[in-house]
Amino acid sequence: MTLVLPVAPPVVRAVAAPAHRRRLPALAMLVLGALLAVVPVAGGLFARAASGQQLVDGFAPHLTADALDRYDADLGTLRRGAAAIDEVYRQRQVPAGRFRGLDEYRATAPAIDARGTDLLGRVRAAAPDYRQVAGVGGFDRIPFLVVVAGLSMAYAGTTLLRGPRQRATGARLLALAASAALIGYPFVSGLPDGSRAGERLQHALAPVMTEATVRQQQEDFVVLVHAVGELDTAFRAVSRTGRAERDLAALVRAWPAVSSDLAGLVGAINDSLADYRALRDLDDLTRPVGISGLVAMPWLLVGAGVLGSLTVAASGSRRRKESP
Amino acid sequence: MTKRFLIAVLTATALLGPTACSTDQGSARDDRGTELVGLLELAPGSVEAGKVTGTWFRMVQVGGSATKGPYMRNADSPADGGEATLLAPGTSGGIRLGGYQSQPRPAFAADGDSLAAAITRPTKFFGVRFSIATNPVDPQTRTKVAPPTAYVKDGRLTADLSSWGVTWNNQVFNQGAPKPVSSTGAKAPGQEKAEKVWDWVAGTYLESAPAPTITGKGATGTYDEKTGRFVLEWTSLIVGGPFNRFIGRWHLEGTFEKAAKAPHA
Repeated sequence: MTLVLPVAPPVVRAVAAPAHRRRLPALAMLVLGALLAVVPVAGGLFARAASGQQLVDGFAPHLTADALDRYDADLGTLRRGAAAIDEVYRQRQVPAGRFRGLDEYRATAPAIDARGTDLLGRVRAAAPDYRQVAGVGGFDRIPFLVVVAGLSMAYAGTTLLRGPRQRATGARLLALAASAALIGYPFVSGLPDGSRAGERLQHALAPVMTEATVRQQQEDFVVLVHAVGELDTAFRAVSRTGRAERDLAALVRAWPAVSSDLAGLVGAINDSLADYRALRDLDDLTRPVGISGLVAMPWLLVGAGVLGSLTVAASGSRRRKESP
Repeated sequence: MTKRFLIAVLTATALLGPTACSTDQGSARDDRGTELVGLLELAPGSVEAGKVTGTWFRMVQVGGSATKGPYMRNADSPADGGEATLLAPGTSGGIRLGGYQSQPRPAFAADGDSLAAAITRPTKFFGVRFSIATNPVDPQTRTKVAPPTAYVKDGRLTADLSSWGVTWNNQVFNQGAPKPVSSTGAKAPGQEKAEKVWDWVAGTYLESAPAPTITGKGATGTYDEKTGRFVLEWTSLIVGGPFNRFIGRWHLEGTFEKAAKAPHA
């Protein structure tokens, strides 16, 4: 007996509607990524950020509370020494011209003291902002973050436009991670507060960070070394007593430390001039649109991250509507 | 086999003979003349009949001239109203050629006095003792520098003293001639390594010369082969630091003592 079954109808599987590549968000992702990868290189951000970091590192030993107190004490020693020299000159009627170095110091001591006090005042006033800037983690690595995020987005955008469909999810995840890093870094590192402090610091130190300041401090140093040299040698022959004697002895005794402090600070200013100018240039990058580059930096990162996230969200593939 | 060996030796001698390598106990010859290897023993500075002789140093103020000054007046020096500072040989007796005489660690006493004592005896300069050292990496410019070398040709002495570094009051100043190119500019993380890799690639595959690490002229002077007496002079601009743009003027005198090339210290 043969069982005859009717011919089964062909199984018809529903054909999935073809996934549609969303070209515009992918293209936007690619363009954003390319911009992020290129702008730091073209804008010299690597060198400027490195200069900013070196500036911060260079001043580190000079902006501690101990160092600032020491500089105050140095100025006090010089002030008392200058007064003591005046007193001995008056008491012993020392004629002008006998001690050239001391004569010059007597003539310029008030101005040297005023300049030193002003310099130290500015440095001290800038110290809190400096500490906030120094607290920003990895300032010199920001350009790397931007470039790597940019390359990731560019790769993801290219993959979404032209790559195999099975890589689309991975590409979107990569772009999302890059966007998240751009958004998250400023908040994790304290960049918004640090960069605002950096902008204030940059302005506060502007009168100090000049060749003219270095030159003036060098001239003051020359006057001081000649004067203290005479104090420690030829001027010993002039008798003095009491407070003047104590103050002059204190100045001569403290001179190695005072001159070391002064030389260290002037050296730090001189050697940081190029770094300071680079930081100022960084701040001026966005000045044409009326914003400080330093203040804008964290928000530019966040903005780029948000844009990246939007392109990721918009790039999700959608199914075509089935035709009736 | 023997014939081939002889030809090879003769060819090598013909090729190398004029340019390099005749070594005789502390000297070698090349285009610059005969290299002096040994010790430039320094004669101590002194003032004779009002004239400063021996080994001395002057510091020219910013904007001044190396020959006319104005010089810093070192109240601790009796020479020329303090405008010259007399130097005395250190524990090694002078400059070791072909080797470094590095600064000790620590380089300074608590009061800022220099502790480097091999080349010259630490000498008071404005209340604080300064001295000299030669280091493989110049402490101020952080550039690798050659050890001191000197060549003599027809009685003229030329020297590379790019490693000549002064230590004073917790400060370091390169006072060499020629001058090392500074390596202290700001660098992005990884840039230094990348530059080294690039230098290697460029040198190996592109046959390009590495960027120069020194600039300017070396020290010059005279040398008497019979007596070994030498005079060596140079000026060196201070670049960077608190004494940026001051100039050091150096005058060294003494006698050359041949010796085997010393290991680097």
